[in-house]
Amino acid sequence: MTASVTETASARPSPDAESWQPLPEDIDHSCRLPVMFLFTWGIVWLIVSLIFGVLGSIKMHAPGMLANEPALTYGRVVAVSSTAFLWGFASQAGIGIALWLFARMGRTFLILPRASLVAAMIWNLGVLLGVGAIMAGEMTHFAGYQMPLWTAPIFFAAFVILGLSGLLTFVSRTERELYPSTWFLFAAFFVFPWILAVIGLLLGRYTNIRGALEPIISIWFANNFTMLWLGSIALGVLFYFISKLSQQPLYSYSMAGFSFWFYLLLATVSGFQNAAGLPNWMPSLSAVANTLILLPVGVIVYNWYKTSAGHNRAKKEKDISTKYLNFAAFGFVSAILLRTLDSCPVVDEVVGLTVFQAGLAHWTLYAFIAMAFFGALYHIAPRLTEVDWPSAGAVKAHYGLTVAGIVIFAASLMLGGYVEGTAINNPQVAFNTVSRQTLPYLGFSSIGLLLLLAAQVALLWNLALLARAQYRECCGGVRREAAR
Amino acid sequence: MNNGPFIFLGVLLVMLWSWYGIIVKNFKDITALRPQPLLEGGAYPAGRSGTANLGQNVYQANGCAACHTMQTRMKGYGADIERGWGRRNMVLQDYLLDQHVFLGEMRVGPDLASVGSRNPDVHTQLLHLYNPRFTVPDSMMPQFPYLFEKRKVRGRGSREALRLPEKVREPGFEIIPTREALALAEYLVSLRAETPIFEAPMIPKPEPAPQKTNAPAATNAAPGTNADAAGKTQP
Repeated sequence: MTASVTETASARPSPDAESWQPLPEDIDHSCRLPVMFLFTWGIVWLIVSLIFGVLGSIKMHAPGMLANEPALTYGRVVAVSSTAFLWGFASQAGIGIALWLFARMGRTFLILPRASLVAAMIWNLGVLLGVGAIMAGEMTHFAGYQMPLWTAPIFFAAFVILGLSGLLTFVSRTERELYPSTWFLFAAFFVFPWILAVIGLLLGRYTNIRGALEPIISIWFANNFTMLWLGSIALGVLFYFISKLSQQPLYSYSMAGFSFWFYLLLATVSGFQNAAGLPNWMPSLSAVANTLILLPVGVIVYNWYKTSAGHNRAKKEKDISTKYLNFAAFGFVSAILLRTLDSCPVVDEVVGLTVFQAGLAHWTLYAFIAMAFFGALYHIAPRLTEVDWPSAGAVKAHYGLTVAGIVIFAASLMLGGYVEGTAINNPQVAFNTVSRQTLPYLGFSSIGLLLLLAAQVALLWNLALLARAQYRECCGGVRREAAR
Repeated sequence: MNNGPFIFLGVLLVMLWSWYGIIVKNFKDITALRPQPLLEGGAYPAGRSGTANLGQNVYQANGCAACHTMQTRMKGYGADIERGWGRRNMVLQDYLLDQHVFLGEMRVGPDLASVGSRNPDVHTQLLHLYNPRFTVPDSMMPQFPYLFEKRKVRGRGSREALRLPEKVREPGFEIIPTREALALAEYLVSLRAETPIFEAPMIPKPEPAPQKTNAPAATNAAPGTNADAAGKTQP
């Protein structure tokens, strides 16, 4: 094991049997199979998502390309890209990180690791079937769930096992004190089956939901999926690592409690800011929620700042995760600020129904959620495999390209959205001219997507090297000796 | 907050507030809505034809909602009305009887809430689906040739065949729309939110005629700039 992987002395078990706690290495070992499986396939789906994203981007400029192939028509390509990101990458990586955090923070072994591995396979099967069905023409138009709804029971079944694993680990914890990260993870694991059941049961073919209830349920689902499911896990990650990497206790637990409850309460109703076809009280409610949320978010940031400001720089652990998590914290704050801005009627009137929305959604998903997950992954994977990241160059390339990619991608879509919105609101400008003015920004955004794709290939490459190094360490050496 | 059940209860309450406030409340409101009787007889909305309802599935399956919205915004908020995308803003009543409601999130293409009033001809819609560049020269919309069948002309040719522009016509071949294409075109034509109803009063169509006589040299600029200014200054 390398130096950076060694744990702090405080985690060592105390000699008396009453308060026995397992060693961190043993906890990591219990998580290895399911968590590494979830990570690896998560990254593979992320690459799939970006490949389809790039394809969609090209089709925007060359609408006649591959037009004869129904599976690759623009609408289906972007649906595959979004599904692979949300369900293949973000949810899987999030679950993997959450399981590890439950075990680590509770100072206990992961319960049901083998069953979780099977559940993770079922989950991947679900994503695969869903993506296949979208390409075969069975997609839905629900923002966070574009797979056909018959896939919902598959995810539900997989999550029952994964959630049970998390819950039992939580219950069997030897560390009784709950850290704020656990609250957030607990909330995420509670919210997910609820929203999945709502969309699966209410919008499935067994109920007769008609009219605007359909978009209301799907927007509610998509918002809770991003802000309360993925968002809570990402916040849990940030709370954990900001304290851990600066080796400081959290500045204030009561502040964390306040921000936890108010973040959940406000974020859960905050998705309707741009819906012009729905009753006016809904965009208004979301605008109020999106403004009030600045308070808990401000408290969160103050808490993080005070926590990391007190750290002893000399003692600070040199960890590659730090820069990812710093960027994720920045991404979180900026995404919330942009959402607040976006719900002001003056701004919404211009950018409300333009490509700005795609830019904002991707900024939230990449700059906040994916960056937090990358940070956690860079910290967790070497501990699970007991091998350090083999290629420092690939780490550097991954960070640089990801940041450049997401900034270029989101910024060009947001600027393009502003240009588009201004032109749409001027009835003198023909719609064709509007499209022509927006097109260059879409072109810039494709460059961002390409950079993101290159970055994730570097990450997968590094992960493959890691797996090979681990194989050599554990099994390869034995076999070579046996051959001799 | 070291108590698992306490956090469980709190998160349960948060979800109940969100679930009740958004889903249950709207469920009650929307299921209480009924088609409104009209003075001239009948009710609004009257519901779409069976073919048009099938067309909703084609619209959904091909991801049209990725680029098109169906939510015309009210006058004074954006310029949707001035653009001619609709004659009034959309309200719950407009979506009442639809199995699928494609509000959409962004407008890469134009809003389709009332595309049937702008373009009521099924054949033009089909031609636009077969290749959007035939009807709108520099459109970014993908073409959907897989919704059509290209076949050899038999006899005098099919009455359903697309009347392609002269330049792209291939002698001896004709393009026949499939059932999906016909259903989709039927659905698009059925999209027209133009019945005046209580909660969304109709905006009378602007009448550019008097300005034409006043300023013949600047006919194109004058009415448009007025409409533009009106759209921006109203709250």
